[in-house]
Amino acid sequence: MKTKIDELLNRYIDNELDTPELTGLDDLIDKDPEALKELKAMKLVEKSLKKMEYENAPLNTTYTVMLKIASAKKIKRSNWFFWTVVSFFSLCIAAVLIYSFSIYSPSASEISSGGDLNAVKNFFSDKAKSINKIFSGEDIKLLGAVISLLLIVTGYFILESHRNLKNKLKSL
Amino acid sequence: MKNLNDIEIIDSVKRGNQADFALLIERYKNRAFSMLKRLLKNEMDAEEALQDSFLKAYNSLNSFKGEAKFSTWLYRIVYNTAMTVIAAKKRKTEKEMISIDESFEIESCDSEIYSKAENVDHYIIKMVEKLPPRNALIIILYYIDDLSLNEISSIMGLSLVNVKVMLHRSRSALKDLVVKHNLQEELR
Repeated sequence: MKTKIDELLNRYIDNELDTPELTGLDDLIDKDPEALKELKAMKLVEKSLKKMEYENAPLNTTYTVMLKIASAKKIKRSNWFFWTVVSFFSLCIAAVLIYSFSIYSPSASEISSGGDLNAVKNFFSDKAKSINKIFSGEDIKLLGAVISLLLIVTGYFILESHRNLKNKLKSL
Repeated sequence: MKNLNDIEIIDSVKRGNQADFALLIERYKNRAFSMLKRLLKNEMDAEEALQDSFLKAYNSLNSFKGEAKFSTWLYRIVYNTAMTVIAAKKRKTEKEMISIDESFEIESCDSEIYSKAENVDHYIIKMVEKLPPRNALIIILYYIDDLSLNEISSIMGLSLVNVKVMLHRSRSALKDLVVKHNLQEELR
């Protein structure tokens, strides 16, 4: 019975009762003082709930979130830079290896002497020679020096930006 | 700038004006915080989850197509973030959230809150905080945010019927407390 009255009162508060149901509720209230008490209580609850207000979020919320967004963007950017550098050097190494393999041609003595072990030995010593040959040129030495310098400078800036980011995150 | 509506601000953020997202945070931080505080029942957790929710919203802003209101979309993120926090912490509240048949243990703290309450409104509002988290959230969204039951059901991933049942149960539980203390006579 109580559940039924509760349901009726809830629907009354939500303006969901049709005319016969409203008449039924009216009759119930007239006959049963307990039902009237419940109706008054429900109306009081409704009135109080309508007075509820938002709670204030901490004042620094906007600042903190925006700072985190900015930091996350920086991490993404530095990740992108890091992978670009790694990809560039990987490509360089792959290019040198492919080039040295492509210029390899076994000599007649290698072919005639036979023996798998010798063939492998000769192959690798030849590889070492051809790689050495690639890097022995004056231009390549200069290029290598420039790349090394760039690498050191880049490394310094990456470390510096990581340090700054760490400090920022710590201060949050 | 502050007169821009949500969609205009979102478009601006999507165009690269990252700083405009601050306008959305300012607009919704109190509402989201009220939700989180009622759900997590802990100020520190609520603060953390609030920041987390806005970060998630920012990161998935591109997936917001404007089919629903931004507030509904954001509240869903806030609600899911709170659920994740609760699941991770495996609190007692987690057990309470398994079904809509959550038990109302508000009687246990009633006397203390009643004795400290300044007036009827204060007493009832304080008791809302003692309702099971989801019930309290429905009350907040319905009464403070003025959302429809349909919108609430979409935010919480519950059926319309369940949301309605939970709202009715919460209201009835509060009404029973009012009757218990004979406060209904204060209605004017």
